[in-house]
Amino acid sequence: MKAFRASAGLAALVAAFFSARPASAQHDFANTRASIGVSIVPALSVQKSRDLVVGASGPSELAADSAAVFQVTGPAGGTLLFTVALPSSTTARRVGGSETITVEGFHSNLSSMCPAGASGCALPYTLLVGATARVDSNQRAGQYVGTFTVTVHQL
Amino acid sequence: MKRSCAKPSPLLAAAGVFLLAAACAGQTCTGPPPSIAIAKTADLNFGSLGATASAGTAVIDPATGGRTVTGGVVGLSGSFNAAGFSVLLCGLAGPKRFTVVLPSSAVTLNGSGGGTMTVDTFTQNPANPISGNTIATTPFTVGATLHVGASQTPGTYTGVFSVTVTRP
Repeated sequence: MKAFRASAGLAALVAAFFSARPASAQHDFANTRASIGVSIVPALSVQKSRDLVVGASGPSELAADSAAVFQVTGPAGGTLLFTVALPSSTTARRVGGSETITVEGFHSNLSSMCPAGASGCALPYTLLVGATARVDSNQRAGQYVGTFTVTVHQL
Repeated sequence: MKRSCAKPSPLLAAAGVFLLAAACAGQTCTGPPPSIAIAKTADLNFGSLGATASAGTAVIDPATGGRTVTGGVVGLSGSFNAAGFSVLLCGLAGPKRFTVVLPSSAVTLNGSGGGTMTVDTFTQNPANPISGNTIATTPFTVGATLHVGASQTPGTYTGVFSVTVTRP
């Protein structure tokens, strides 16, 4: 009698188990989540390492003439085609005064070192920029300071 | 990565859920058999990309794990991979196959530098339905398309997507 009760109880358990499944369920399903990751870096960046000095010609000048130097950097070991945009002109103003000098004729070493149509320039690339200062015959002596912007575009 | 799973004895069908849960650590069935369980084995990783003044895309192919870039996006060195999942069918009854349901709308990624990007066009390999079994897990992979904006803000971007598997 005791054995019968036990098996009847097991049968009831099994019946309860299967009846617990919803009869209307068409699918059993499971889900999970995954992350998406990506790192975005600028393909090109440009940083000044030396200012441009034009027309240093007096005993009071602090620095000799020198081209501006920029470091064009990108992905490690990368080779990229890029162009450089330079200003057509800029104005330098005398320190402590209001007199100005026009600086124009900006040019770089890019055209000869990294010509268009080449497979690319190895990075980092040392970009040199020069320019011409238009000094009037009666230009007041002094130190003239201005700024200009260099932009690199990846092709 | 295969995870084997003990086959439940028919005599112990009532206890099958608990046997499976014990036998498949890390991958368990939540419902009574026949049921299904899924585990993630790899996150979707587009690797390292260079942003330029032109917008573009990066696509991960789930079949090959390869990456293709279009537009102004530059593919940089470093690892990238499709997302990976493994599926275990639980219980002896029912067809031995399952269907994967991927996001139908775009997922937004947020960047450490403040920008956002979207990921859409999720694809899978193999195609639905996928044959599975109750003894070992069945793997499948998921790829997608990442949309990178013009001059996209640099940074590390992360997001989350959900994958559902159903068993007929």
